[in-house]
Amino acid sequence: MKREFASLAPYEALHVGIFIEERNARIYENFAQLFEEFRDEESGRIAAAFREMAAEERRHGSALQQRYVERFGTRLCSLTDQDVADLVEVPELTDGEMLILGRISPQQALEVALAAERQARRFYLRLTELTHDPPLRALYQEFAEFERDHEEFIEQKLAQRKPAREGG
Amino acid sequence: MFRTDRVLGLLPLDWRLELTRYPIVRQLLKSRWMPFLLLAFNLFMFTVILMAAWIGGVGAGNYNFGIMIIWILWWVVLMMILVPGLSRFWCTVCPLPLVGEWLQRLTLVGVRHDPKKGNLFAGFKKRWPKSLSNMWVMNFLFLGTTFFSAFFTTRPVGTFVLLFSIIILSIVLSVIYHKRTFCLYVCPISGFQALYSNFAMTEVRVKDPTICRDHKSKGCVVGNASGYGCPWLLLPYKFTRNTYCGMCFECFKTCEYDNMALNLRPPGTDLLVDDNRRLDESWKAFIMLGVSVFFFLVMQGPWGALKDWANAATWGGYLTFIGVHSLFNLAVIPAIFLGFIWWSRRMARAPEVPLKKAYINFSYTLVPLGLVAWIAFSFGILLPNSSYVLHILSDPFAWGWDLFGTAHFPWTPFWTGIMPWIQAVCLLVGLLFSLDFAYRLARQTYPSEAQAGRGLLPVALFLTLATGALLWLFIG
Repeated sequence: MKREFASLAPYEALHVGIFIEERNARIYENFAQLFEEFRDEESGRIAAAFREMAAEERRHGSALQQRYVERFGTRLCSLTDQDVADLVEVPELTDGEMLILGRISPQQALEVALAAERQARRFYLRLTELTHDPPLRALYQEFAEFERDHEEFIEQKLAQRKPAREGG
Repeated sequence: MFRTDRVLGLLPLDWRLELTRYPIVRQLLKSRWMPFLLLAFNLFMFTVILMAAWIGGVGAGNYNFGIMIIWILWWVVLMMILVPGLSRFWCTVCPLPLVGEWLQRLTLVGVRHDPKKGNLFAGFKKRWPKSLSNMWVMNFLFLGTTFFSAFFTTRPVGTFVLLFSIIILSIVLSVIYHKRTFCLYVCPISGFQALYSNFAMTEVRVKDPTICRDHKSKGCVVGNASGYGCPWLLLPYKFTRNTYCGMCFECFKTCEYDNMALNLRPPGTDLLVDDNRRLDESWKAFIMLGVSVFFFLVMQGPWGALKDWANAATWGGYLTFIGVHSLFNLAVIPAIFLGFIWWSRRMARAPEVPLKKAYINFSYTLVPLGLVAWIAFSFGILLPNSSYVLHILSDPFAWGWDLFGTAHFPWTPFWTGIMPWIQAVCLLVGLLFSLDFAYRLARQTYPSEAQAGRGLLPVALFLTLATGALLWLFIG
């Protein structure tokens, strides 16, 4: 039986958070692999964008892991993202015909990631509003800020691409 | 009371019968020998067809194995059974891209897979240009092949040249481009199957989307040791219409959760999928409707002069045929349809709805009508000519063989007396489906029910007039 994210204790939520980052890293790597199969310049750039996102998710995962150890030491937890009913921060390629119709660019690849990060931040902010338990509230707040950092990272990447495209 | 949530007021739009819930069907589709064994059989058949078209038979086409099998048996089965019933099942068993795919995979049945690199492919693996990632190339190539229809259907070497060209082109493109690029963007047979498969009564779909959302490795997209990532470049966990699904069943093999299903469903449900509708698909609908008219006129119609034009009796006549044929399909039908859609928008009093959106949406009403026009045309081939098939099966190369004792079976047309009635019933059923979907598409296009009701009238008039014209042609 899957549990609601809101029902998790702080150490469980943090533990699941680590797995969410790891899951996303794998999803981005799959996206990258998909585009690496094509040997053209643009597909290479899309794959690179997804690889970068995978690396970023792994960095986040490591940071969360460090926090877990700092706060909860070696406390065991067996919960992972698979045990939670809520879908938090799942990057999705949503148009089933996107590859056929050539409807993805490096820009859109980053937007897929941005949408996932925004969805995650909204999710954690909502939990912050709903919970009355101070330690949990603080943790959710921390998660939301974490996602805000990710968003800024991607927005920065998008902004870097924009002048390059405008410049031709 | 007419139920609008049911096709023709009868079958619920969301009705599905999952065929893969039967273990034997699922096991079959998960096996790597499927579809290879069917492909191997078809490869053998097409080898005989090519040989017969090249070396066998006589100049006049009626007793040639290649012509008979392709233009009587295959075409009729494709249009009357496979596309309306089984969607793109022909693509499952089509041997034409087999060599190209083998050159990419370097294996016919197995899977070359590296845990780190994913599925392994040979060739240059280029991506098809974005500007051509649509149906336009297929539209023009299909129309182009119809310029030579009189040759393909009467001269064995014409059939040979057509099939051999497709095979060579598929091999060249498979070496340069990735996966099923040839089938997706170039194959002239693929385009109309793509559009008409939206009307088909079969679909491949995900069973439970939440399983896919949770799934990290997405083997259906990137492949794994059990199978290849979708060769047709779909995201199998997300696609919503049959158009580009070549029914290769690789997603059944790669899915670790057995979450793919082969469903029976009511006809036409994909026509209501409001994703990725485009002008190139609209033009495919116009071209298919127009070509069915021209094929009838040339092959079954009473006008000898037109047959002479199509047969290139004179260069002037042939060029006139190409010009009129192209103009009719590419400009006249689309322009008339545009007039009716402009009128529909006015009637609906919905200036906020872009004309282009209304035009594209309503063009999908031509799918049932076009498909039944081809079915009616196919009856005109099947009933008078099918007895030839018995003859050529016994003597495929016209070398005097009598393999099955049917080589001297006389030409025996059957049911030709009631053929016009059969064709009329087909066309009227097609009109019913077109009107039914026209109403639903009007509801998608216009904001209110009242606007949809008013906007439907000109579209319904167009469909009725088009059916009337086809009835006049076929049985008039």
